[in-house]
Amino acid sequence: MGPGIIEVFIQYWPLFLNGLIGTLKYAFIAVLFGSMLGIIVAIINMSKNKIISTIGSIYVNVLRGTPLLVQMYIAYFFIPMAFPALSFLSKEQCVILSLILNSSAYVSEIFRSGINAVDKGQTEAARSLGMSASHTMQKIILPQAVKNILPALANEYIAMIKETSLAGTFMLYELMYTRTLLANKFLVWQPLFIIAGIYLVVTMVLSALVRAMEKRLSVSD
Amino acid sequence: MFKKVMNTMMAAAMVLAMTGCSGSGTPSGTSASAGTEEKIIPVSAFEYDTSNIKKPEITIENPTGVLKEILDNGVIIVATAPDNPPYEWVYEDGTTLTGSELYLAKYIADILGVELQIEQMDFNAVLTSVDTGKTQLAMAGFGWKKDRDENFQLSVGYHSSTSGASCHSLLVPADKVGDYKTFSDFAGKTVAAQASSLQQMYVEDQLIPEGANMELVAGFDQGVLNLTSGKVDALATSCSVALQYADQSNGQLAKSDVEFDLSMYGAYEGTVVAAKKGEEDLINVINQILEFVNENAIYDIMYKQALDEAGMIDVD
Repeated sequence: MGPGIIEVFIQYWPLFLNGLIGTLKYAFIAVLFGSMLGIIVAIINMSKNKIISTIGSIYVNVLRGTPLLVQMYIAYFFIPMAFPALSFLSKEQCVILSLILNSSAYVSEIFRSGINAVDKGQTEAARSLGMSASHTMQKIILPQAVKNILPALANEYIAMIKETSLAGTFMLYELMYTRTLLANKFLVWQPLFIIAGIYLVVTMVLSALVRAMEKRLSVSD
Repeated sequence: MFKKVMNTMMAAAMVLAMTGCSGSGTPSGTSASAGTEEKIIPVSAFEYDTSNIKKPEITIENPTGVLKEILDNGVIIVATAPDNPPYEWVYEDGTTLTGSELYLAKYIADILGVELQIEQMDFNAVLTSVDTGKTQLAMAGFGWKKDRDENFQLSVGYHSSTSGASCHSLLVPADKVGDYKTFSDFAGKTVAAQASSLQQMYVEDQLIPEGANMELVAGFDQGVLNLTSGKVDALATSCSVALQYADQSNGQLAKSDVEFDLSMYGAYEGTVVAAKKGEEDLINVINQILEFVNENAIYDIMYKQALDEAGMIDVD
């Protein structure tokens, strides 16, 4: 019923473009700041102090074990209630905050497994040469871990592009929100196929880039 | 079932895309939807001019709670779900909010002498937001319901007696429109309604006793998809929205002749405004304003303007 998918796309493509820009922007912010926070969480997680590492693992488990939509609702409605100092946060900032926190939990696991994947013999060799623990980490372990981490981080970005669709629930201007805008013009089914097509194209292109990057990184193996 | 739906949609998409058929089946030229090039300049509710509209004299003595907060801060924060033209919707820029209910919100803000701030969110989040104090008033096409009245402070209903704002009906497949003459014709049929909307109340009170089943949907667009894919037999909606979809459906959908009886709801006929439970001061003031609005048929003006702005068809 109504106009076809192609006609809707031709007439309203700027809306979808704006939505796509919003989606890519939110995903980028989430993964960028999520990575910074994720490094800290990973360090906390790998701490030798049992209490500190337990706190880290609770953080990761809570954020990975609950749906992102629930986290967004809680961030939006209850964070300003629980911490009045944070009540200056706008709706957009609350939703982005929940994206960042969620991303940081996943990224911290990427870092942890990336670092753990480097052969233990490397640490032992470096330490026996007289390098300090932090020096070993900086010069020996991290350069090798990056090779494991980068593709996984790129995949997290691709996953985050799909996750940000939940921000449309809070009327943030991203790809899924174009559905609301067009439903107001009584176009209900066409946007779904257009949105799905755009997500598919974007994630496929990015996946291809990640594969190319993996190939480059594996040259030294 | 899924496959069938997909096939139907894909086939429809293919045919429509190939033939380039975008016009509507019925001869109405006012549609602002795809196909027409006319550009309507968006008027946001914030700019809605209420200076020419009659206003009641409101006396506020010793305000408490949220009302005090509103007057002290000089701003009223209204939550809405802008997916329901002509009552509330959002323009393509994603920030220009408008619609008859938001005009009314501006009218209320002007009477209180405060700024209007509107927070847009998903329909399901609107009531949560007033309950948590994130926003102060919820205006999103809510009807009066017993359980809602127990958990929120509800105003009296506002409605329009002369225009189509108070006309609520059902959207049905065009070839079935003759099958439905009275409420009892919906016995054994499944009727979709948006969860916690006015229409949910109408279906519960008027169709379910006649033996109809109700299917609740989260968003109105999901209801339309349910109807076009044959998952439900009818979709409860306001008359103007039903006419709009019928107009755009290339003759597939039609507005049913059956209309809901609203007279049984008394003072709660129409749409209500919701505030947090216990905010009696605020709702008392809102009620004074709404009673004035009802007596002077002020919502009729706002509804007609919003209908024009949305480029929608009026019922009469």
